[in-house]
Amino acid sequence: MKRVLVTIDEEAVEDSIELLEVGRLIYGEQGFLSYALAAGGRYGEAGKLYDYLIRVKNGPLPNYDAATIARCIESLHRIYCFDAIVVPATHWGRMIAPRAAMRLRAGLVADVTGVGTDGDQVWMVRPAFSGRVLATIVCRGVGPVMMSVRPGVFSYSGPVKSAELIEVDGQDFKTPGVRLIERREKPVARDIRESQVLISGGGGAMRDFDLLERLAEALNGMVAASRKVVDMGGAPRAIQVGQSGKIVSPRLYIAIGISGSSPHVAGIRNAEYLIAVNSNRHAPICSLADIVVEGDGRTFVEGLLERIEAANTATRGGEG
Amino acid sequence: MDRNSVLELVAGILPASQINTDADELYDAAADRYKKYAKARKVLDAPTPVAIVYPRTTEETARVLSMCNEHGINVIPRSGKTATEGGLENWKENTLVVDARDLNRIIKIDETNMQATVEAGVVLQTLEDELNKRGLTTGHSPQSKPVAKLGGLVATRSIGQFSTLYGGIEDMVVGLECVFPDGHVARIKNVPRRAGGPDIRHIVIGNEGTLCYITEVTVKIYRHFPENHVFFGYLIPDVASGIKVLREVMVNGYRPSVARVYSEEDARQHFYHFYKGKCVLLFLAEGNKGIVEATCAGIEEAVAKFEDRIIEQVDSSLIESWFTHLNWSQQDIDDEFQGMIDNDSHAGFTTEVSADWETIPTLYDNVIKRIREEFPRAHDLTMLGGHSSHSYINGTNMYFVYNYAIHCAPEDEMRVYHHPIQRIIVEETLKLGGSMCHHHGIGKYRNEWTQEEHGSAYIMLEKLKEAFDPNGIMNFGTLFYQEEGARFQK
Amino acid sequence: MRILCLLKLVPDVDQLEYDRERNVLIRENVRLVLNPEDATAAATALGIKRDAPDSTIEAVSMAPRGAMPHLEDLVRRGFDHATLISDPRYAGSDTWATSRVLARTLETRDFDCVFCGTHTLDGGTGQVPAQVAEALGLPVMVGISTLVELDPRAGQAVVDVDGETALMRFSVALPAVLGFQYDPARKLPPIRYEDLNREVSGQITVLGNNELGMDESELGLKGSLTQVRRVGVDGREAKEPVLLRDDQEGLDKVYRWLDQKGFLER
Repeated sequence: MKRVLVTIDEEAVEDSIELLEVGRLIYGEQGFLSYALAAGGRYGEAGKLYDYLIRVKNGPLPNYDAATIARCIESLHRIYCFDAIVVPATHWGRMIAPRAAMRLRAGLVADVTGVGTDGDQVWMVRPAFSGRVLATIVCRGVGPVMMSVRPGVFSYSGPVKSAELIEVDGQDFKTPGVRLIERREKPVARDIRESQVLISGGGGAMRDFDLLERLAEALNGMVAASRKVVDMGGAPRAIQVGQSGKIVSPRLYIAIGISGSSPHVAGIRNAEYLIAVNSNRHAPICSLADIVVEGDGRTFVEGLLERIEAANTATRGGEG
Repeated sequence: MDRNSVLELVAGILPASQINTDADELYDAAADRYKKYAKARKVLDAPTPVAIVYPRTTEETARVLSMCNEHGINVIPRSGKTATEGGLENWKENTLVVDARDLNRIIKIDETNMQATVEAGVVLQTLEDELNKRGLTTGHSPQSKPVAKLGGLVATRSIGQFSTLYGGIEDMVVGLECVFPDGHVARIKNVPRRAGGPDIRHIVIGNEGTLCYITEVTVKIYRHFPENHVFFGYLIPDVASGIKVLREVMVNGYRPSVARVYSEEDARQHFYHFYKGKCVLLFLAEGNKGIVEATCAGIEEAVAKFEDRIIEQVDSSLIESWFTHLNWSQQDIDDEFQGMIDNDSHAGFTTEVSADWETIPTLYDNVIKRIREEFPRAHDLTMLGGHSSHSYINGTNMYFVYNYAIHCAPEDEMRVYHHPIQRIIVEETLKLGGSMCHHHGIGKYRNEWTQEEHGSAYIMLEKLKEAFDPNGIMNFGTLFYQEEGARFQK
Repeated sequence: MRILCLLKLVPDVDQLEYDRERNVLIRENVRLVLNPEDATAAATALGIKRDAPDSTIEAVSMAPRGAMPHLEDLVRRGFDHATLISDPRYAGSDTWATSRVLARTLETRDFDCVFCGTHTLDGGTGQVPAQVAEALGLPVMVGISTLVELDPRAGQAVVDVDGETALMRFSVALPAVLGFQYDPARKLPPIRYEDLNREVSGQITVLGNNELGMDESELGLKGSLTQVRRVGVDGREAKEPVLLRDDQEGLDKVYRWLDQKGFLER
């Protein structure tokens, strides 16, 4: 029976819990025992989905104290001999996992977006070269297989369980080194470079920026613009994307009515997903897009908003 | 003589509304696109002119010039401001920039005799738009067309994208009017051809403002058949293969209006969506239906003859769509300007040369090799390549393009990056017997090689300068090397 | 104050082309650039030296020989010393092998702080700073947006980090590994004209495995604990984009795609 350890980041509890799916993909639903390490003290519904829940007395061990948590993981591994250790690739997980891997002399693959098996071997997929390629990686050596996994990629739905509790003593692992002085909740992102979703309008969408705002709002993103629009006074320079504007790397870039000249494209090269909406499907930007919607920008945005708003009404239980 | 005295003299000739002493505009007038980066970062070393003046008539122009001639005031003739080789840069304290802004009338469009007459300050695009309405064209289409004006286009012996069919500006000019430093106005009349002694138009065409001020130009006009345009595009393994195909087309007597070969890195800038890391060969066949059909057949024949050098054909609509968005606009220029302020980079530089068919491939390879091996900052290069874009029966041009990450202070960029690269290109070209300046003009930044470029014929240029500008007031530093200007070049 | 900067030279990602026929990235003729976040780290170190001229700042980079001009440029900008760790046996090292080589190089050195970037343009794992820290038994913090204070005598650095949900300020005990986040405003200073051709070979050391003495089995591809099996494209450049129209069917598909990718969650 295989054993999989998942660490729960107290700032991303739901995302962490979902990593159970990684275990299922590799070993099958019945093929492994799952352990959730709630070093930071919060663990949401993990107790109902994992076989074991590890809590820390004399804790919590905060997520930013990577050295301490790495020692805790090592100690647990010495006892339970995990086959795989999965860490959410949050800012903190990406310090915890490498430290733990170093202590365990295990291979670690970062920012994994896909997993599978090839016989006995586990393979993991991750973006490389600033997202331009996907690399498939395997671990060598005695293991455990270690990976940090991008939040939001996997989701788990499985049988409800009742986790057995394991308790460890935080005092055994605490190392001085990093101390939190102050914490301030972040204000809403104002810079388009910080937005994960950008709805960008070009010359072909000059009169539709009001609609673009609504779509941006619906997708939790921001509106951006091409140089042409900014020059014609249709948008402020602060949201201009391109070589002489801002270089952005959102998860999603929807380009509406943008032809995609080389300087503009230089600004969005690192966008993970690109949807191009253009009346000309030979516009240069289309060759870089994941999805090309040939047609009218306004029609596209309105249609999309309709669907999103309909779904929201439905989930609100028929309001309005 | 101090600046105020110069201003007083000018005020005696032109009203205040035609004299500009705005500080920002004078700073801008001190240099052209050659020093675009230093200008954007406000570290220009060139002195600012005393004023920019806008004569409204030939007669006013003549009075300004003769006044300057009498008092030794440097004159920079200017129209569209698109110069790229320092031709508009100022190297003297007492300088007047004489701008053709108000010499902007389209005088006559003569469809019977297929000639258009305009003043020097008419924007080429404006004339072209007027002609297009009537199904006509100038046939002249440099990338600066939306901004450049006829005076400068003639003064620099400019060439346009369709030159392989229509020729360069020298083939298009019929007659012209110009003013000499002593105030003399010369009109060269419009005749289709003559043998009345040497062709004196060629003293003016290409003089780069060193001999006279052009006030009016008459150009030939052509019937325009954009509906017959046929585009061709191909991916090829290297520049030499493309040159072979270009030569085949030309030597067989075909005249596509556009015939180009791009190296990989240059192709990347323009055709990233289909170039697949290869070189690009492209053509445009234009004209009357019969001519287009024949030209297409000629192109296809040439391509077929070298089919082992053709990787694949590119969808014509991609070439067409690229072509229609190629030209600069004032916004493109302003935009690059802003980019230079915000980031430590610009859109690159070019050095364009020409040579015969046999020489060009060797020239290209030698230059690329030397730059990669000898240039001390080669590790900063972000682009190095070139394209051939103007072909003749006996040869073609090579337009080298290069860009680099700038790791020095803005005021040092020229001497650390641009000049060493340019030097290699010029040296290799002159060594192989080509011309170091295909169509941008020598300006000020290749003037150390003017003599070598012309060899024993150089004396003919020198004599012209002595004859027409004995006081040396016309565009000091352009074409002819000046020791006094060396400090701006180093 | 002694600061060591771990710097990586990476391929200029924008210049990389993917060869679909051979399924490899074409890395020939791609220039090396200093990883942008490492440049921020280097610029920070140079800023500290400018304010405290008797500090010593050193650049350390594990790279192929082609990296030499870049290290020379750093010395010309004010780094006291640069070390290039280069050995053909190190080729193909993953982050584990790399971190061990770097740790071996650093463990004999005296320093107050190690600066580095956080993520690289090529690998982008962000693992090396933490692995080097673990190998040396030091605290680590990455993603630093501001170095508020660096006080070796008090034994602490104060840093600001832009976390996912909050801005946080930490005290990190020195010596430590500090990984910086890219800051476009904090740039490497230009090289002064008179320094461009300055002879700096006396300030550069090249180390190979003969000097570092690591066991051959721990090196390069063989010594790595992870291995790249295959590199492919994420579809953007390998296959044609999905072509839709702005009709009901197309919009439905886009909507479903957004849902599936998680963009519709609130």
